[in-house]
Amino acid sequence: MKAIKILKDKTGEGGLIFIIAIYIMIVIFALVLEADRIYSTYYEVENALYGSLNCALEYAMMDEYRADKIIQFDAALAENKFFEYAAQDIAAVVTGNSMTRYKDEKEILTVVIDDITTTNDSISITGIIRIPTMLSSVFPAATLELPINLKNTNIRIDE
Amino acid sequence: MKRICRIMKENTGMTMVGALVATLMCIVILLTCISVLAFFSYYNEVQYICRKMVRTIEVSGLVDEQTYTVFEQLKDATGKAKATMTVDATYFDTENTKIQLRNTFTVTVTDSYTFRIFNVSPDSALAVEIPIRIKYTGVSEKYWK
Repeated sequence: MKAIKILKDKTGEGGLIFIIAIYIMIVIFALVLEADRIYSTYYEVENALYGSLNCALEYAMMDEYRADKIIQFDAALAENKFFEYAAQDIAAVVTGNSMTRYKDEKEILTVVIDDITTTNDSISITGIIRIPTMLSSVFPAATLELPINLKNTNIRIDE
Repeated sequence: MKRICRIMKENTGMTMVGALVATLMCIVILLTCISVLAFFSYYNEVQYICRKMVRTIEVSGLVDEQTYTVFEQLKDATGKAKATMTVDATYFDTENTKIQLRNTFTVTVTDSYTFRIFNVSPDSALAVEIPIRIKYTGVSEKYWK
């Protein structure tokens, strides 16, 4: 059998191993770069959401209560402002409880806010950040879903 | 003359000379790498100062003496005596340099890194000054009424 003879032939084995090693190195390098991109995006979005949450809460604080040393804010206003500010900060379009960032009409990031909880002095959000990976165009399941859980408390009673 | 030519053509001990040159080159490469890493470490520290200053102004919503005190403290803590900071913003209250909620501002921190190439004498060195300029933008999180 000619095929078995070819398989047993050891000529050029070194070259083949070298090519495989280079291929593995390229794959590892690409994975590291992709992981770094995903981490940076997640960090950037999380920071932006936290800043938006701070601004929304600060905006909705009720000064008439502050004068009496009571911490109170308008929850509905804070929620609306949070979506407005977050959409500005992450350059996304708001649809219901989700925000999507597009590049060349292609979805590159989605933030879904599952729950917004408010108490008299704090607001917290839970949700997910959906980041497509480089394999998402081939395998839709390759989109990463990372959880977000942020809380902001405003205890300032002056001014 | 003949003797010099003979010595020059002599091959004995060539490996030793080669090894010495290779070792010397390795040391030079290693020292260059350390110098470059030192520069990046310095650059990161200046970046850290700039980020910290942006966060300080974001939270307080104003640029006052306290802001510059924080900057001086950060400079002392990281040993960046030459660093300078400028803040570019549209102020809500120009007199008190207050920045209104959601208004953006830019903090620029400038410094320079002295890259020593060769020590001519203990007091003077052949050095190159590499300028560093870090610029970050922030958003005020304080609502001034």
